[in-house]
Amino acid sequence: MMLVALTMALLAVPADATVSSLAAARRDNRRGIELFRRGRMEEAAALFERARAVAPADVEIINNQAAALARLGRRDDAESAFVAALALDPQRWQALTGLADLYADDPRRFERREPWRAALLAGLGRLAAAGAVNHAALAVAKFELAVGRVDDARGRLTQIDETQLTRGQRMRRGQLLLAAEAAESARSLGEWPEPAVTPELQLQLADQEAALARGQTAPALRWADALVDDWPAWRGLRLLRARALENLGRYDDAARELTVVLRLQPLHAAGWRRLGTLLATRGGLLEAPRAAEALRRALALDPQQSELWLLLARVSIRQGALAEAERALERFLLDLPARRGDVEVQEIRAAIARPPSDLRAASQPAAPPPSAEARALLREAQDWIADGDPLALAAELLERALIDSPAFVEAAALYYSSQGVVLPQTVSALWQAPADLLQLARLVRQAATPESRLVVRPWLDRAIDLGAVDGFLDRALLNADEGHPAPALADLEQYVARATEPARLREALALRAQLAGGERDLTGLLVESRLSRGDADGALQLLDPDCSPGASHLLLAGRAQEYRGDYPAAARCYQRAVAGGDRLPALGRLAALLARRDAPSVEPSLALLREASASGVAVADWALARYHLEQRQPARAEPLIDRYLAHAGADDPWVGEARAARDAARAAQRSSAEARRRAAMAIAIGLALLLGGGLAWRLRAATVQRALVARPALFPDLASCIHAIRHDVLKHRASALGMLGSSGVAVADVVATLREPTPTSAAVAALYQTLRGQARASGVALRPIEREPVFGPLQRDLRCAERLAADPRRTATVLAIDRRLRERHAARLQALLQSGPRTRLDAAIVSAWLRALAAEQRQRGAGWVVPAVAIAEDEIVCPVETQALWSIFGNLVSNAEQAVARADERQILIRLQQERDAADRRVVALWVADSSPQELTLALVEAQPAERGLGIVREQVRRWRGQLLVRAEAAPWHKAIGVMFAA
Amino acid sequence: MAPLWIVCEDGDEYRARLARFLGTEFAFVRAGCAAELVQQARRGAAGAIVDLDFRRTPAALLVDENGAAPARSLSESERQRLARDQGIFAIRALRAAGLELPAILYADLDDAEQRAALTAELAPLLVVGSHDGLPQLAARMRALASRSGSGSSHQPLPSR
Repeated sequence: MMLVALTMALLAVPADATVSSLAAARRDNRRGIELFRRGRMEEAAALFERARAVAPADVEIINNQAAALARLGRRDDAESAFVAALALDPQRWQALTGLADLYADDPRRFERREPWRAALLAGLGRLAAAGAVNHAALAVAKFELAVGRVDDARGRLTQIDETQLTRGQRMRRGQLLLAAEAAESARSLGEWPEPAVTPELQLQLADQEAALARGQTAPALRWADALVDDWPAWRGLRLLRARALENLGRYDDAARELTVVLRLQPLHAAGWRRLGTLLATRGGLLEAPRAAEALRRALALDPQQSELWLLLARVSIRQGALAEAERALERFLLDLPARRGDVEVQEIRAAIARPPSDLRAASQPAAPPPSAEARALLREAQDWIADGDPLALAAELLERALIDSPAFVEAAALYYSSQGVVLPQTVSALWQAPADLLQLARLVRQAATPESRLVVRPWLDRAIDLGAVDGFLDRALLNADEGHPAPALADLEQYVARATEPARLREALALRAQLAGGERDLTGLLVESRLSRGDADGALQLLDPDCSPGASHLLLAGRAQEYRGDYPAAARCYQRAVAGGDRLPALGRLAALLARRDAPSVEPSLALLREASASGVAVADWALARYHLEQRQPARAEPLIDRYLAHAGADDPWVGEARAARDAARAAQRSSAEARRRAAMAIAIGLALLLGGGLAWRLRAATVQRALVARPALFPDLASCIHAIRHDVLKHRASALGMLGSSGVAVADVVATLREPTPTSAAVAALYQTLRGQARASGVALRPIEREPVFGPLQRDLRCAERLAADPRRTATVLAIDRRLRERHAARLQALLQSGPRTRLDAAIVSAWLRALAAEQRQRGAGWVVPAVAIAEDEIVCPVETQALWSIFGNLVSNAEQAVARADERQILIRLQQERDAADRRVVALWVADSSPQELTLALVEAQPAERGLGIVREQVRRWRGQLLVRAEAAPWHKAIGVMFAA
Repeated sequence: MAPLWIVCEDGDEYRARLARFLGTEFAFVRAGCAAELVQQARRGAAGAIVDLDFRRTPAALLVDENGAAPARSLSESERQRLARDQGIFAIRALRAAGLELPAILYADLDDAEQRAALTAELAPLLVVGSHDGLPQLAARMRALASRSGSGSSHQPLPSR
């Protein structure tokens, strides 16, 4: 634009200048223009300044000087020069457009938008020539868009008489209308204010969240239900409800609740992640588009949630969007290259290579995405248009983009704005893709000419024929534009009647009404909008991708770079942002980014990471810990890991890895400490052997507690022993001890209860002896009962009571024994029951188990369907010994694999959650659902031999006192088999 | 007349023991399954003491988690599952029949949340474990009966 101004040389001559000096000024001006064109702005500006000193009333020289100063970033000087040019010649539209462009790029534009806009409008009002007015109106509209006055800009652009525009102006107008459209959609990302919830309620919410984490789902849901009417917009409450509903298996309700949260706060990363995961793992094929959208948004907001890329790949395959699946998979492997050999990754690769035909058929037709080359051509065309397209190259560039990617809607719309036509191959490419066809219609309709309306009508009809409900709304708007209220109303009626969520229309309108006239920097929202569509390159176009010093939106630029996978560029942006006003968020993002990088990448940012750590950014601790681990400094890493785990959020993606690292570091430390100790011990042992020989004899063999540590599989036998003691001895017989001395109770009856048919002490000894036999069979020797610290004293007290109960003088002693039985002994038995083995399960462990199973299946030559996995919490602790649980898990999954191998629909879902069983007992439940229609009942499970498949599961479940259940599942699953164990 | 308590169990050990030691203060009658418990309760009682595990009860006499008789024949896994918590399901059947008879579940429930949930759901209910001796059980029986106001009534309690 400024270059155009420079080419318009005028020969205004001040009256007092000499001819030779004026000639020199003109020479300087021409030379300045040449230097300007070559990009040598400093020299050009100096020449223009010298020329202006000689010819101070030469408007062209002043305008040229202003343009050069603007390019140099000397904004205030440039502004003064443009204003001076306009003061001398109000008809100089080049100065006005130059000024508008200068203001539109100025970082201070939001603070000064009112006086600047007033000045521009005043200048616009003074222009007389129609061509000049159009030029300036376009520039003013650009400024208005830049300060968030979208409606004003759109109004100005649509008021311009298109027939009066040059081709270049038409293209620029089209581009600005596209920008207005994008700003409109970006507005929908604006947030509703959070209600002012009282601190008491906030505390209660925290309590309920903690309760929910402990598995108390129903009370948490009741609490939330009671409050939701009073606080409908409280996001924390809604999220709690969503989690509780999900725990209860009410997935549709949970998804609805999350949708409300995201409507209130469209940039809620955790909300999108939860919704995407929920829909991807629980939703059917019809939910796949929503799942993909939610996952994309979650990733746009936090690209380091690397597992989501994998989930997105799977959902994309389900949709038949194989190109997107491939992109997502590659993006996943960029972050986690070590997972390249994972079975799941291989499965996805295979699915991409050989798409099942039914997947393609089931997905909604969508136009193929434009190629990178087509996108580059569009950007080039946009650049030319922004500069006025002096060489008339834009149309050709757009045409090339459309030949390459005929379904490129943005390019087609821009092409229409300049050429007044849409290429037939574009229409043909979009003819089966209703959503894209609608989008093109919407953009072209913005031209607001009778021709454009004529063009889009058949597209809208076609989109409606293909089932695009939104098409009714667009056609209603078209009919209204054309002054046909009756068909417009009919279409609106169709829209409201057919839209699955008509409430969304009202909400959208309410939101728009709320934001109408709102003037704020929309850049951030535009970037979010583009990122959520997966267009990171487009997002970066709005920003300074190099994050030069002083650039704005550094955090956003960093995130866009992160999304693209350019981590060094992202780190640079965050480092610069730390120095700016976004210190803490920038430190947070930088730390999140570095938490996945190797030590050399982390090295330059160590100081910043330490600063982040000191500022309470939890993930910085993990990033530093990883660095120290890589540097083989586990002692420095361990406290950092501990601190990270103490402060990490429940949804942090690194928690599992951090826990594993901590366990490994501790094990390593233990083993090295062990080695040191061993040397010292060697000396001590000799002495100890001498002194402790006798003692060792006394303490030979293990206590029950220690035996349990050595042989966790002994626990079911121990539990049976304790249950029998509690039931048969304590409850049925020893409970009578307390009746001694009561009126009407015969001492003989109490004695008989204790001694007959066998003495209670003998019963306990017999039960313990059985346990000893079981322990010996599993390779561990238990101490004789008299030296066992739990069973020994119990047996002694019972024996004592049996002996003394008959003696009325010893009643007090017996009553003391009774008290001990009910307090001390009962507590010890309960403690033993609670010391049973616990197996921790989280996503990483389940994945590893699945990989092992897949390898096993392959070795047997069997197929493998990658199961979907849903774990309700970050980790679930199962009260079953690891080997037994692995055996149960493996046989359940293998059974499901065998079942789906013969089915048309082949899907498996593994669900691990805490719930309450029919007796209100808190249980850990493992469900394996499959899509095979093959019948499965508990009777069939009973019929299985004990040493095979589900027979093994049945026997293990009984041994570990669990429950086995079979139930029907909603499509696409058919049934699920589950096991439950008391938590 | 001594207040009548129903002892619901799969054998007769509890009733015999309770009659022997608490027989001067209370009267006891046995119910062998949920249906008998409901039947006895309708005739009138001060309360019911219910065992948890009914492994010796025939499958046909068990009730499911809703207190209803299962519609089909039970697999062994299902029978074991119902028998193991039958006491809870029997009290549910009692409540489903509209009987507010005070009940004592004589069982070791180590999960405090489970105890609290059941106490709320099946009120009036107390859970008594093996760490309580007969004197403590008797004290609870007295407390429950007086709280519910049923005293030593042998008349049917009003339905809910």
